[in-house]
Amino acid sequence: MLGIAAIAFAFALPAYPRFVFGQFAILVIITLGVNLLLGVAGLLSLASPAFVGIGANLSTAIMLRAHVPILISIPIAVLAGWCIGWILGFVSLRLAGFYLAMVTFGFLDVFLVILNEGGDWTGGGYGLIVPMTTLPLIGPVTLNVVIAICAFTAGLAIVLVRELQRSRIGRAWLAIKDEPIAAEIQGIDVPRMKTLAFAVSSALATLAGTYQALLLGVTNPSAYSLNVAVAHLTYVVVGGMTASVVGPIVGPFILFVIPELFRAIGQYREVFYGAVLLLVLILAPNGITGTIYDLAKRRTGPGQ
Amino acid sequence: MTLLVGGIAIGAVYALVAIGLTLIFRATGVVNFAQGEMLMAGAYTYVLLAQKGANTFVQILGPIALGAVIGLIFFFVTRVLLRRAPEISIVIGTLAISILMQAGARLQFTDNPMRAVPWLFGDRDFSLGGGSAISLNSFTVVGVTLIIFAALYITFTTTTYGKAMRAVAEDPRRAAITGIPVNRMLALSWSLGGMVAAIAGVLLAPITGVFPAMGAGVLFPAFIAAAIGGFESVFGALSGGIILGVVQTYAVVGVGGVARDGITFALLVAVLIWRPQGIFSTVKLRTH
Repeated sequence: MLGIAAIAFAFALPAYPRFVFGQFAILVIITLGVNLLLGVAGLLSLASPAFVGIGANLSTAIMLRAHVPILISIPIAVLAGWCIGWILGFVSLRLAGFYLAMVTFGFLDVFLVILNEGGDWTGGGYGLIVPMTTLPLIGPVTLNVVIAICAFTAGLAIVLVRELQRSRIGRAWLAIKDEPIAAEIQGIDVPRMKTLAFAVSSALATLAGTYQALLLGVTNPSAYSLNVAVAHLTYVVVGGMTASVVGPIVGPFILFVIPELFRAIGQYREVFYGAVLLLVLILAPNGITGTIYDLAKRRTGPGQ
Repeated sequence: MTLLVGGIAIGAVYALVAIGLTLIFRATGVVNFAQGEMLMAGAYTYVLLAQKGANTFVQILGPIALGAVIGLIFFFVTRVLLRRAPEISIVIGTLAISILMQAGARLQFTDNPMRAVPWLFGDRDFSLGGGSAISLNSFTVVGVTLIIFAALYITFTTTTYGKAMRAVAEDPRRAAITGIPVNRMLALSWSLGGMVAAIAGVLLAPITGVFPAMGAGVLFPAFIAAAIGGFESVFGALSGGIILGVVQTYAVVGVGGVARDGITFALLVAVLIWRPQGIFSTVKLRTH
């Protein structure tokens, strides 16, 4: 339902804002994933851009090399993202906090090296150009089609992630985030839950990556830098590191859509993100949804 | 031989940054993602001072002073401003500051590297006979690193200040009860970390040139070196750094420059999985 509403909204917009909305939808999907990892499961990962890149490059490379239709290349990429995410989660099981951040950062670093040195497979420093494809029933995949797909998937993802976070798995993640030892005592399979969190988050980012390649028409290694990882984290921190799905929507909206539409940011983009991140951490450490939650708690008081 | 010396030199820089990381972490519990940017700030200060024709002493004192000030700023932000925030936010906080610093430098100086003349000995080389030569700067780098290490070691084991800092690092509350001004010690630790990073910047500047992202490239290996020391042992950080520098240099020559980051990453994973508490430490690592 939400997906269809999203599509309708997308097409009510004029051309450029519609394009921005497409990018916004992609960011929402990514942020849902990162929020799941950081806000719900409490795992700090800097590898999100790597998975976006994996999605973009893998799907495009498969389409270019093996002439595989889009309906197959995307699931393959997402599956790869899931598995690699699982492995990354497994590697990080014994780590926490900054160690985890460092290892995931290293992963991103290695990924970028692979991209830049990948020659024909990855397009080297320039990236690949995404070929024109067609979908059965719908015909050629134009920009509007891509935007519609993004919007619909974002709506779908919001609902799915919300259900996942409300389920036993979601509650297990929250338990791990707050009191890992207690969680273990209660019988939660902590390693399994952690790797699962990584897998889901990575799959989401990978899916978003395949869309991004279609939306932008190219893949470009500079889109997967550490700054992007920080941007993702900022979306989550500003939105609120909670289990609410509103956070991942609000975060990118404030930090991406508004500057995009007002264009004045330009080269100050990095400064903007760093400054906003720091300010939010200092003034409203729980982000927007977190602060709302705190206010609500204060209003109703304990035991009411 | 040139290769070995080069590896040791870069390893010494890693070691310095790692020592800074270890100092700060031991005292405050914060892993400073912006340590590389502190290095960068020191490097820019050095280059700018050298351009203005400052004499040799000022050239090294300027960055040191700046490093101390930056360290204090970080102390203020993490201890005072971020007091209420969950621990993970402090990590993200230092990450945010690092991005801010890098972006600021980029806006001010652009990404073009600035050339730096090695401190103290300039560009002179030391001939080994048989055609090969080592730059004197390598000696400067290693020498300064060893001096700093020795100075820190002596300070921590003999002076009252040093012991007070160790007490605060081990148990802030008990230290406070005995009358040690905890906040002052933490501020001091941050300052020291900043100063060490700035010096590392001065040493690294002639090797890589001075540009906004120079710190980021060093942070990762420095982190591994500190991890080898378990984030607790300064000696571990020193040895880890030098070993890493040498291994990396030989790996690049042997396998090719592409493999450098991959090998570094593999080493990190290996250390963290195999012996997360570091090779030189006896501390049990938190896994939650």
